[in-house]
Amino acid sequence: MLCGRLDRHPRQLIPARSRLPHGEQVDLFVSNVEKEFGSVARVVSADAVPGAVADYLAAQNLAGKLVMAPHPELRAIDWSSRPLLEIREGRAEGSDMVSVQHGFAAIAETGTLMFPSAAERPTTLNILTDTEIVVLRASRVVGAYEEAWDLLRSEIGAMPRNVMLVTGPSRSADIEQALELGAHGPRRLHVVLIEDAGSSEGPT
Amino acid sequence: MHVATSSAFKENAHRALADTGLQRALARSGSSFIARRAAAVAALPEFEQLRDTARDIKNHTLGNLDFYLEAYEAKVLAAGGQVHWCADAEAARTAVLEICENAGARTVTKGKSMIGEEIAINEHLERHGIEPVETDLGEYIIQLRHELPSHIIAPAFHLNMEDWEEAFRKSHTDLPADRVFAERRDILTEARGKLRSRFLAADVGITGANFLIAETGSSVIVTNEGNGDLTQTLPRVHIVLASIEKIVPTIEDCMSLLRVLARSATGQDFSVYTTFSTGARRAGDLDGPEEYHVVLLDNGRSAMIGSEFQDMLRCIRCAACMNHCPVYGAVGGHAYGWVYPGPMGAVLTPGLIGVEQAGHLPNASTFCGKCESVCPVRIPLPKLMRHWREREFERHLTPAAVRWNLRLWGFVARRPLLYRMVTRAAVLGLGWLGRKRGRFSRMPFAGGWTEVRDLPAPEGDTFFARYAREQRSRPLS
Repeated sequence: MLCGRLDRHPRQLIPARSRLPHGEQVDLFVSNVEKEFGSVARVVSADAVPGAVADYLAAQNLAGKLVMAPHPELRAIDWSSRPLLEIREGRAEGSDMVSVQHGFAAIAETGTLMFPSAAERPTTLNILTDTEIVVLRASRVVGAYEEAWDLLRSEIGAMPRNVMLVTGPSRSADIEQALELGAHGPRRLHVVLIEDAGSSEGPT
Repeated sequence: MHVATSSAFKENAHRALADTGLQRALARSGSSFIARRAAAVAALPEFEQLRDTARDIKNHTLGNLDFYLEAYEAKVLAAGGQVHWCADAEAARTAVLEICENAGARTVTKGKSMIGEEIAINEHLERHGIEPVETDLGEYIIQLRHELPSHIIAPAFHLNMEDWEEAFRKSHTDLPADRVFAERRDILTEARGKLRSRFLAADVGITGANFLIAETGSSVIVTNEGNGDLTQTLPRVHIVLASIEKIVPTIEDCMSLLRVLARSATGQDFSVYTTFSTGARRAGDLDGPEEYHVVLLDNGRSAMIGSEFQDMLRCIRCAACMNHCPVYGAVGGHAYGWVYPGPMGAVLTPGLIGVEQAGHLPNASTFCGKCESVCPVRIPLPKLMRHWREREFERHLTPAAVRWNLRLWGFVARRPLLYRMVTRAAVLGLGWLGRKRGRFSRMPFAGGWTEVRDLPAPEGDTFFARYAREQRSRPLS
């Protein structure tokens, strides 16, 4: 009986707030990211990603030097359209200031990004740089955490070494219980959201 | 082992009440936690149902703890990790030291871990020539000041801005004298800069665990700063310190508990970083530790299974109970004298270090019930404190005067007629004596009470007498 419960991993109560048509789930995700002090740029296609990244860095007055996840979806993007972006693929090192990470899935309920570790999605890109930019397809936005785990179970299978759920940039309230952004992890979290076909197909 | 001063709670409390810095910190921080939790709860209509769900998941797990712990261990092993079963703090310290020594460790970074405090791992590592570096901002300054945390999720709850500046100027010897700490941001930036090189240089990273998942063999940590992730990702070896009751069956169960954890703790909908770690670095991975160890501590917990204190093992360490406690709010965490303060500490501490040492803690409660009313897993904290008071009485640990008075009261209370006569005589007598001033500023045998406030003189009659009178005068219908 107990083994059965582990195998079935039944869902418990899921709050109603994310039980929405997909388009509204994407909107809820965006507003929750912004509520948690992250930012979102919505772009119409993958071709627009390099421009969105370059514009964001320029607006923040940051250098266009990136360490990028060696993920096929990011590699497929034509980054040469923005020749001033200097891109290295791999894990982050202590000297890297800006990372570009691949968003596996995202959860509307609380504006949370899911990053399962893999050779093409190194964990250090989530935590070691000053600024993390996440490239996410809108079709990968789900309502509740449980739905993101279902995607992970069906597409990856066994539990990856590390799965991070990230909600906004790093912060601390340890000094006089007042919130300050920019503790040990990234000071900025920016999502470039590609409005791919999946998101517009959803019932509205 | 930290020397517990719980037996000196009264003296500790007196000192705390006279500590102006502490009182300023308590006044500032207490209400903000309460307001933030209330706002988060109000924004989630299902919150009360989720509390029931959370309680039921924990009860189910505790009822089958042996099964889930064994299932968990099998999954950790399958993912290339190791589980070190430790009956007590000594065994856990030995296990951690051995892993560190095998790794040739010189420095160890640490994420926040209450189990680390419980087994006093820092002192043990230092004694053996290994430097532990606390990386949670609150824990970092606590380490600089050689103190214990005063709160389970906000270790530096008792400190003010000037304390931070003072500790940094004393410890960061390279700090220029003209460096300004005008804002909290300046403190944060200094700590971030200092700890960055420690993260990158550490040989071993030690974290706690908010949950362990039997289904996958994962350990879960929840942080806002990201220090826990840097701690467990960058060094070659990751050690997880966890106690046995942290286990939950599945990922879904864990998510249900996470839905009530952050809301109850900081009033956030969700913490910034919620991270599931499962075993060591996989083939092809570009980062992550090469070794993954779980040091699994019992330290008296399994003895609570099946006892009247089993409900306490549901605790998910959110700190809502202490944030809402009038006693904690008056004296702060250090007065409790050991690792766990507040209502949850008043129940857990006697279980872990003995009621002989910690008997004062379950007595330091007004039984207002606020703690139980906000507990996300519905632990009946006042009831459990009452059980400790009974144990204390049974074992003759209560002072003689208290015992005699309780016995006398018990004798009278078991004889209703006598009880009514005695209470009525007292009420009428005191009412007559105090008929002019309406209050007493001194009272024999109650000096401790009247020393700091007046006792109002009773007016009228006892409740019983009045009730009987009104029953008689009620017209028959």
